[in-house]
Amino acid sequence: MTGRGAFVAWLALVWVALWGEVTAGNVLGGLVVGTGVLVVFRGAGPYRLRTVRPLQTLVFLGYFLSELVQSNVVVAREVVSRRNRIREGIIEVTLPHTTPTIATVVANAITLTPGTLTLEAVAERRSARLYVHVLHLHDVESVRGGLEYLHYRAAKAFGDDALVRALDEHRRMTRHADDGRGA
Amino acid sequence: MSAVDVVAAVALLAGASLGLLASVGLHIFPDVFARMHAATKPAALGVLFVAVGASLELATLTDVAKLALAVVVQFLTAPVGAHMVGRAAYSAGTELSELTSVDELAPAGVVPVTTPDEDAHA
Repeated sequence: MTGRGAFVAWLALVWVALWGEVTAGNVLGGLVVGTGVLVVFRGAGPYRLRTVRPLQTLVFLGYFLSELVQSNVVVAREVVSRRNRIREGIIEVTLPHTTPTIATVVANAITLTPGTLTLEAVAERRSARLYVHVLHLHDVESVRGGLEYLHYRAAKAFGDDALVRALDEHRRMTRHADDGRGA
Repeated sequence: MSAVDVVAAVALLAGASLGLLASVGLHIFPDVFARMHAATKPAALGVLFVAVGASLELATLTDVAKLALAVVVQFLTAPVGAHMVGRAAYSAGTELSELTSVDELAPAGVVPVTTPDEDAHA
């Protein structure tokens, strides 16, 4: 199935879910509307994931969910406690060996995880730079390492073999102090 | 009250509490950027909790499908919205609070929006 076909199918599924009933009319309506959306917005995307490793995707989602819960605890504690631990900053994170789609996944995941918010993303030929606003920037390198690890998990799930190899190689070359996170 | 009711009630309360925390955070955090942290994270997890709680009570496929859709859309749009607000605030020259220690975006600056079509012929 082509990326476009899958995209129309996804939109049709959303349409049917919204109507709440699987009827021939709903499915047909969804396909018509989905195709219409694709025609109107043909300039955009479609972003697609050529590679999806089911197991690694689960690992990525699990890691993401645990980070999401932690991030809520961190922000909640900051709201409730009287002690102000806020120490803001904007840091640059380079994603070596990436694709625009993976960089998008990572940028959005960053915004949903502990005290980090993607402000700007710059795509280059084979890499990307993200500028991330951090709420509790007490240790720049450990935050940076955590975000690089998030990218690594995303690349493992959605990157092709060459990309994963290149990234593994890169990580071997530049061992950060964040190695404990990989356990 | 069955066990399901209890779990649903706890989930609904947890979700609503996160929503409350998010709004308090919006009020007390020092600048736009810190406030976006408060606005996105608890909101996303809060919606997830409320949807889980509501699904347990409603338990019909129709309603659960709609709730699942609401959660998916929330998770897809919250970061994009936060990113655009933060980016717009930064490029408009909004001051960072005095609690800010580093700004590595300053030398690069915000770049104009381009259509990322590299993926099509990567």
